[in-house]
This record gives sequence, structure tokens and C-alpha cells, in this order.
Amino acid sequence: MGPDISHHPLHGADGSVTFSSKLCSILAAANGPVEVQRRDELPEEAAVEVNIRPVSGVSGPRERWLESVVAAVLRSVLHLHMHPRTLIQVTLQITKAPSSTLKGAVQDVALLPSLINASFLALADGGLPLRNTVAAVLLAVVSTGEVREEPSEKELVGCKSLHGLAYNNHGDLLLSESAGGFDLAEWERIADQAEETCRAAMAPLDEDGVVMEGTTSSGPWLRQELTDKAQAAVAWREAT
Amino acid sequence: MANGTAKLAGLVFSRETFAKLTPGPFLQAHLQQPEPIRPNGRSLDAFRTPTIHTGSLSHSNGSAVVRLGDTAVVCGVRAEILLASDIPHPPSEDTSEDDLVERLGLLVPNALSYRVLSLMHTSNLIKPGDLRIQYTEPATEDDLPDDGPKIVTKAFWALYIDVLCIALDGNPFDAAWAAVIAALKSTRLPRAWWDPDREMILCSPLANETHGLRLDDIPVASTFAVFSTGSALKQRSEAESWVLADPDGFEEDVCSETVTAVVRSDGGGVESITRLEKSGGDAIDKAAMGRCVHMAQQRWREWQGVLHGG
Amino acid sequence: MPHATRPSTNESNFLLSALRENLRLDSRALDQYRPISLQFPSDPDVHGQTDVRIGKTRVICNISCEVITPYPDRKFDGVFTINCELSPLMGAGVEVGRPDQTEALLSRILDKSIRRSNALDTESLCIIAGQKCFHVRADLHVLDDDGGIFDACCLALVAALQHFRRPDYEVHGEQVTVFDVREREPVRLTLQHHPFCVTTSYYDAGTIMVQDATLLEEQCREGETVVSMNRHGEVCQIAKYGGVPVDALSMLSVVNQSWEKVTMMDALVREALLKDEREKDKGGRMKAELSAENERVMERPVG
Repeated sequence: MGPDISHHPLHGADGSVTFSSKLCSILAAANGPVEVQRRDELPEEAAVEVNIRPVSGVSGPRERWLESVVAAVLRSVLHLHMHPRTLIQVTLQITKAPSSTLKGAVQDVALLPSLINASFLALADGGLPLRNTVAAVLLAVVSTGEVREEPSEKELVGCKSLHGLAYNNHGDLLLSESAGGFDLAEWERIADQAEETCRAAMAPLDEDGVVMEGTTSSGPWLRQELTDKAQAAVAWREAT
Repeated sequence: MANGTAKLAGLVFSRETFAKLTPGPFLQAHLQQPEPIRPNGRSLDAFRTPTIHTGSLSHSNGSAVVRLGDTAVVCGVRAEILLASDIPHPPSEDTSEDDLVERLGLLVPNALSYRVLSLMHTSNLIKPGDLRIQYTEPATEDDLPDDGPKIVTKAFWALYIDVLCIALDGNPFDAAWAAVIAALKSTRLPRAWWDPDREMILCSPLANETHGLRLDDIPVASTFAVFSTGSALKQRSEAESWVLADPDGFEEDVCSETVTAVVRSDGGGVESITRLEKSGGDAIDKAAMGRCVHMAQQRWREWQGVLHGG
Repeated sequence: MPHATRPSTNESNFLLSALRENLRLDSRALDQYRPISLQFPSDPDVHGQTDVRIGKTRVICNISCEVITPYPDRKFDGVFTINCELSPLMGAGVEVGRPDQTEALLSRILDKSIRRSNALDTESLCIIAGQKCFHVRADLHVLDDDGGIFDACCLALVAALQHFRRPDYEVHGEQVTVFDVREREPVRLTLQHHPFCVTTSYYDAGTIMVQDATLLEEQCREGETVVSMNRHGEVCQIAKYGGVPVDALSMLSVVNQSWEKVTMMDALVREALLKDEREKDKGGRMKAELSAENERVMERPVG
């Protein structure tokens, strides 16, 4: 039971994906490498631009901050040196967001893992050069002290703290955003659990392409997704 | 001078030129010394000593100027009365106290920092009780004799917080957050009450009748930058990284990875983290994050002295 | 700055020569619309969101509202704003923050068609004159542009306005209680009429007229007219900004043809809304089964 993903819904963009988790739905599109404005041009690597559009209203300081965080993570994921003096543009349209009655910081942290997962899948769909695979996960410490992975909106209300973490396929921590009240030991436990989940998301499938036993709740959804995509792309060869 | 370059014939750079041409290798040359030192002369985990001046703005209810090295941030707090009847969309009965401040928009920042506002709400810094102007309605004949007096909230104080960065040499967030805290600490709100005859809020002009805001366990922010030599063009195992506390402008430009930890400690010595952020690169792992948090907690102790003393 | 690529000479010549023989590249009739699909969110608590597709063109619209103080010079009216942005989702040619000509034109036409024609009755949005009113906000995002974004945006907006429910409220003297959507059933908006846009493109000095042009057809056209009207035949606006001069009397036939199309769109929206209501009533597991129906494309061949 992983997130809900649909391939290439848009025709104008190089790569696109719709990504829906329990809390939000995001339509992501990636374009690149494209021509860059003179002022943003970097001599040795590609510039990365992220645009986030909220469900309602215009983008404001909140979206600017989310964009800077997502862009920082994507810079570690993309092969920027392959396309110097160009621009890689990622646009994220939020089509369903967690309820606005939640605290602002909670909403922000809740969106980040989905934004990152959606961006990565859109980049993969567009065939942009990537040097890492990244998976992100959201964990909440609910009022009872338990740790819940991919919490529902009910669990977010009154949660003690909320954590969004992203790991790459080498096990490096690419993102950690936490808000609430917690101590270092709690964070370290959460980081361990997040690493396990992300590792499981990218874990190899067994021979039949079936989900391996003993994995965490969402299983190797990322690996499955990319495998399905690759198989669909060469299906014509196997059919003939 | 920690200048690691060898003198090539006809190619001699001054320190400043080296820094301008290739900032990355310049910083790396410093950090790779047997005793790593940063170009600004600090050691890796040395923070800059902050200085705080409060009360410098005469028209605001509270103000503070925080200097962190060459970074300087000014914060002014103005209090205005927001009548309960003017609130377009009053929150429902079951909104908890903590959420009330956010829902009613009682803290109004200016553009500088969404992060600062977000942190203010997450840390439940201001208690709504301090901002309420309540009125005890006199008993009328209709009330049952056993009911206590009805207390109605007639209005709220809305705090307009203006944060302005007047000098930037890296790490504006820590300074801005400290400025906001210091300004709020120095804020005095006049005594206000609801006059039933004139149907409006009246304030007392007497200085000794003002009250401050209750700010218990103040959270303190510490930011770190991470300089790493890793890149897609090199082997992963060859990458080295260093964590620099309280980065200045030059270091911020060269580093792509940052960690911010906001910690607080309640009276009983229990330390907790309010906000932990890390984004940018892949050099920091769990152990490094732990070290950053410990450094942040030490920094908290340093700040307490400055905030309470100043 | 990246611009959308212009079609090659071969492509445009092929298109024009086909049109001269009364043929379109996708075998449609000159006045035929592509299949239009209208989707609402499957969550029964979400109102005012639509996803419209005309062929490959895709537009989403989201309606939201909040309570504010009305403008001092319009004390008895609520506020209705339309915000539409071309997103870089459409393709690399769009730069964020800088509205280009198409975006400005789109805003202006939607404004004229829907706001200025008073399709949404702003007086019905007033709660207490001079003190409180509703601010209804429509956000349109063009996700995919394959021609016909004016038509798609207008359709999405009108359908979303009909789908949207605003919170209910009660006034006791000076006190207003606005009920949360969970406390009381939210209420429909009052729409006076439903305007739709039809774009007609001209070729060959205005002698060939085509409706619902694809992106390629739009890039090769010489001029266009955008007509907004409702199904009663009342014209809200006609826009012909420059382009090839056409015979004045042909305007009448353009408006008449548009009227046919508008009737078609109106019926389509009505049907989609009814179907959505029926499904939400049944609720539960049936929704998952029935939702497949929404995705089926509704083909409206025009005879």
C-alpha cells in the first residue's frame, strides 16, 4: 500500500507525474535542460528552479521557502555537471493539501516528503540525468508517544512532533525537517526508522518483480514504480 | 597567514584575490590544516558573540537590535487593538489555546522571514492569555444566582512585528530570531479595559501600569553550514566535510548544505528541540546532526546569559 | 529565454492545404469540438474543484472563499476575484512571474465574461452590509496547452462555480455566526447565468473559419474571435483583437455557430454535475465503482 502514482499525465512538459499520498496530491512536471536567463546562468553546472503552486491563492513566502528546500535537495540528486549553463525547471502544483486548520509548520513539513518524491519521479519520467535515487518519508510522533509513518490527517492533529526525512540510495541523509517538541534521542530513533523505510522503498525486488516479504508498510514502492516504467518502455521489444 | 599556496614563478596571489577567484579551494586550504581554522579566524565550532540593545526605538512597544559579528538585525514590535467584533471569521469554541494565536493572526510579521513566523507559532512562544482584553460582565437579573460572572473577550492585542536586516554577513536567521525574542521580551503593553458606557477600549497611559509578555523557556536558534569537497566528478569515498558553526557571508556562499537547530530548555533542565532542519547536501549523517544539536544546546546557555542580562 | 517552438513551413502548409479542402488533421469537421471531459474530485467533502480536458488541453480550477470586510465603496457587494496563471507545467516556454500576452488576454476575457457580466451575483455574497461579506476566489491553472485554453478555462470556471458550496451563516442583529462545513450543509452560490467561451479561428483572409483549434492550428491561424455567451443566446462579450480583417456579416454567423456550441457545453456541464451529485448521494463503495464513469470521455458530435 504505497502512494498513488500516475505516469506522464501532461504532454507539454518533458516529464510529469501525479503523486498522491494520504495527506496530499501533487502534480509535478520537470523540464530540462532548457535555456537559462543570463542572470541565473552558472558556468559549471545547471541551474535548478523549483516552482510551487498552492491549491488556492497565489504563491507567497511560504512557497518560496518550500521551493528553496526542495531545490537544495534536488541539487544533490541531479547530475548538474552534465549540462552547464542550462536550467532544469521543476513545477509542483498542489492539487490537494492537508487541512488549513493545522498549524502552519505542520502543514509545511507534511508537504515536503510528497513534494520531493513527486519531483524525483517527474525528473525520472523526463529522462533527466540523475546521480542518486531519493525517497522521502513523513513520520509523526502522536500524542501517545508512538511513531506513525505516513500519518493520516487525524493523527496530525495534536501530534507532538512531525518529521520529514529523505535518504538517497547510498544511505545519505538529504533532508531532515522537524517541527514540534522532541529530544535528540527521539530524533535519532525516528531517523533510523526513516532510513529503513527509504531503504525499503528503493530495495531490489525479487526475480518475479514481486514485493519482498518482511518490508515495512509501504514496501519498495519507488523501485516498483521505476521498474514498471522501464518495463513499459521496452514492452514493444518483448511483444515482437 | 594560513595561505596554503606554493609560490609559482610569476603567479603570486594575495589572500583576497585567492579568495575571490576560487572561494572553494581557499576555504578548503584553511580547513585542511592540521589545526583547522576558518578564514575569519574562528575555530570550527565557534559562534560569534552576540550583542543586544533593547528599547532603542521610541515609537514601538518593544524593540531590539542584535549584532552577530557583522550581521545586524533590528526588530520592532507594535501593539494594536483588534476588537473581537472586527474579527471576520471567529474561530470555533474548541480551538485550543495554542492555535488561537495563529488562527486570529495576532502576530503579524513583515516579509523578512516566513521561517521566523513559522517558528513563533510552533514554539507557542506567546500565550494568548497575555494578549486578551477581557471584560467581566456585571450580573444581570436574568442570570441564575449560582453562575459565576461571565467573562467576555472583547478584544485582543495584535502584535505587528517588523524585522529588518541592516547588515548581512551570513546567518541572518539566528540574529533575526534573537532580535524578535529580545524585542518581545522588552515589549510593554498598556493596561486596557472595556468601558461599557462608552462602548470602547480604553488604555492607561501610566508607565507603571504596563505589563510585559510572559516568555518562558525561550528557544534559541543555531545555524551551521557544511563545507564538503564531494562532487559528482569525484569518488564518494574521497569527499571530506567540515561543519562550520554560525557561518559568515563568505562561508555561506561556498557551502550548499545547512543545518538549523532550535532548542529550548525548561526550568527543570530538560532540553528539547523545537525545530530541526537540514537540507542541501549529503555530507551530514545522524552522528553529525547529534553533534550539531549538542552545540546548539551549549549555544542556548550562552544566549540565556545575553538575553537575560542585556 | 525559451519560446514555444513555431511550426515548420511544411507543417503549416500541409495544415492550410488540408483546410482548403475542408479537412482537419484529426478528421474533425471544421466546427466540431474535441471530446470534452469534466471531472470533479471523488471526495464528497471537496467542492468547487474541476479538471477539464478538451482533447489534450487540460485546465484545473479551484474555488475557495473566506469572510472579509467589503470595499467601502461597494458596501452591499461581496468580492469575486479570478486568478489565472499559465504554469510552467505546460512547457518550457513559460516564465514564472512575468505575465505574457496570452495570460493577460486570458485574464481579461474571463473577467469580462464572468465577472463583468455578473454571472456570479455579488450581492448574494454580502453578509452584513458594510461589515462582512464573502470573498470568493477562483484559481485557474492551465496544465497542458493544446489549443483552446480560453474555452477550457471558462468551462472549468463555470462548472467549478456551480459545484462549489459556501458555508452557511446566521445573522442575529449585529452578530454573525458562520457555520463550519461540518456543522451545517454548505450552500450553493447564486449564479445568474452560465457564460461559455467559443473561439473561432480564421484562415485564408478570413474565408475559412474553424472552431476549437488545436495548438498547431492556433499557431497557423491568421486571426481569431472569442465569443462569450450563455445558452439563452445572450452575448456577454466578443473579442477580436487585431488579426486578419473579416467580413462584418460573417460575425453574425460566428455568433450563431457559437450559440450552438454553448448550448452543447451547457448541457454537458449540467449532465456532469447531476451525475456527480447522484454519485455523492449514494456514497460509500459505490463511488469507487461509479467513478470510472466520470473518466469516460463525453463525445458530443455536432451534426
